[in-house]
Amino acid sequence: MASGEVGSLNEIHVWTVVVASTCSLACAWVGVWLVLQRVSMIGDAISHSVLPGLVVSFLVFGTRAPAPMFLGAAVAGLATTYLTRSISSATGAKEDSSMGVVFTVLFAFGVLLITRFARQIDLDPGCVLYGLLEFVALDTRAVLGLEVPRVMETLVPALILTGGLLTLFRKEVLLMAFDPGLARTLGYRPGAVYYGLMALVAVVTVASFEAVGSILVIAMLIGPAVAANLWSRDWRSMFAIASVVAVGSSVVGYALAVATNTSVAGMMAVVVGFACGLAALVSPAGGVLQRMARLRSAKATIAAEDLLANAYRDLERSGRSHRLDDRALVARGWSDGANLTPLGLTEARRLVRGHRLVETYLVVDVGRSPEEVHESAHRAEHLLDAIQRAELLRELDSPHSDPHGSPIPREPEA
Amino acid sequence: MTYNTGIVLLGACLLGALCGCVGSFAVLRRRALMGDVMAHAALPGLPMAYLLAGGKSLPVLLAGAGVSILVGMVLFGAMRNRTRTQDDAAMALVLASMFGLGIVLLRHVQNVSTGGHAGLESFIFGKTAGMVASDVWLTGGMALVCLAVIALAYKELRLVCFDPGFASSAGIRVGWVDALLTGLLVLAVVVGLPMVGVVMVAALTIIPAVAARFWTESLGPMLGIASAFGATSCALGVLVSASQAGMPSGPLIVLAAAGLFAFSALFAPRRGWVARRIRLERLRLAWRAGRLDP
Repeated sequence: MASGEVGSLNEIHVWTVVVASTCSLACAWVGVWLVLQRVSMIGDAISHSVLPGLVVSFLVFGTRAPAPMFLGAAVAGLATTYLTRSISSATGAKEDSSMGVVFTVLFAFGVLLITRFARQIDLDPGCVLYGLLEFVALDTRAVLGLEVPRVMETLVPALILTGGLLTLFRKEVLLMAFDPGLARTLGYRPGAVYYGLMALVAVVTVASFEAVGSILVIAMLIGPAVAANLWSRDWRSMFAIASVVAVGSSVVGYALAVATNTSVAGMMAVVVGFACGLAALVSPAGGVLQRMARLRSAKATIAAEDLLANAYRDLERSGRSHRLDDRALVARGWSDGANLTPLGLTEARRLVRGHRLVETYLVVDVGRSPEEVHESAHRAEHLLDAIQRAELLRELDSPHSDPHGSPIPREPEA
Repeated sequence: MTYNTGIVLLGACLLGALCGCVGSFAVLRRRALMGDVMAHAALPGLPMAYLLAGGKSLPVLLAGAGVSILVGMVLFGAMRNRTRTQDDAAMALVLASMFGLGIVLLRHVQNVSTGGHAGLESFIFGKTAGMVASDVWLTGGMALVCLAVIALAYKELRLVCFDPGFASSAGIRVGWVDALLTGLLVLAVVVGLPMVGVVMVAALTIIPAVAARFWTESLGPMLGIASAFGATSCALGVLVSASQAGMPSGPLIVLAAAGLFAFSALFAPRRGWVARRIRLERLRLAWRAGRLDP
């Protein structure tokens, strides 16, 4: 008896995580497109406005079967997009304002219906917002001899539908996300793709409704996609990363929620938020830390290059020969000024050559006076490569000295 | 009507006027959905303030909500400015994650406290039944202060909303005016939380403003109409909610505003559906009669 209870508890844990992962996977796949098309807040609007569609369809058909629920939600989702556009064109109001009108009104209507018909619907307004992931594993159905949570009946079709449609219309959606103009020229119908995507958002939202509710589903839609977008610019890897973040935050969120005895869906939303924060910090593609490191190394490079160039000019003025030691750039012995090793000399020549070529260019070709060109050349010398120096040289007919009369060092061998 | 209902009604009208007024500027400056993000981001502040201050006096809770909104705004700004995340994705993410945190904290409060926490959930959908006169004086007073600030900064707000480029060339610091607008929006949301609730207070800043747009082309009248719409919907919502036990006031207020919106969309002169229909028919008749220059 005792072992049976432990077994069922484990089963509940496993099924809850499976439900959470299924729903966040479906959300994440749609979410990647929402983020790529920059319409995330439309996802927010639709996830709110499916509520009355859901309730009305339940009141009319009197069942929680997937088909009528999907129908009601899809109608509500399409109505949101349609009404938003109509209000915008009638008032000249910006799309986001009219969207704000439509989804808040629909949502308020849905909440009121639920409060009014609470007994028939057996949903309380609270779980409309944050779902009841804790309890979905308790309500099971036998499928092929296995006790499966009832919500999987809607989640699995939604996941398959999402994956299938997004694979089938990959090309169209991709084109819409990256180049709507080209999509139109090639004869695709951006409107159809757009409405299709919105209907898909509605379907996914409804399927996830019982588990995570209509507000926290936004975190599952947008969060994994934002994290993936911070991590990669390639849409295939974005899908992979978003899937990993979705499943990962379901597992971690569930574990944390059980440990602290709080709302699972709420904890999942928090974990997704943290995942995005983490991605923003440590992403190898433009994360904050990486950019800081790059900035620091650029600063250090520029300081070192300035030091080398100054040592070269010092040598040039004093006419001393350089000491041979190829382990360092600047040799020791600072009492009579710096001295350069062969390696340092090569680097320094490269820099001073670039500097003086730019000075010559600014005076000869641009027509600025020799006194005012040093600062510009000083900034440009760090950025020039051998090809640009060769081009400058050609442009200037191979000068031997700069406007101040200093010789232009020859190009060191690579 | 009891004395308490009268007081609550007065507070509701002030709140509605404030939201209509601030919302008009927000809608014109394309910040409509910012209010929605702020409202959801306010949620963690309520249980946090309850846990830290150990009580649920309204000023403390509202201060917590305000701080929480500011944290959300900082996160949003960091997301938008320091990473390549788009505005709308950052908004949706902050909204949902902060709301999730709020739900987690609310559940935690339920777990640790033995009763006395019951008031916090009512902030989600709004509730007026429990409001006492001092709460109303607080929200009403804050609303009056905001309205006074708007009156003082009217010229700057108007310029920045309609022509930010000209405003900045006329020596107005657009950044500061935007910050003022954001601050006003935060205050409007915070003031609205107890009556309209986290989920729907943003609607009160958007719907009256967009509805007012049907009636007028200029800012002054728009502010007046939006304020009147806001006040009317709040008053209606509060009255119905007071007469029906267990009905949250938030959705009722929003639906009252929706009614005014629908009326405006249909019957406003010039821009309303009926007026446009009539104009179209007249044009068609004129065309058929050949009285129309091509």
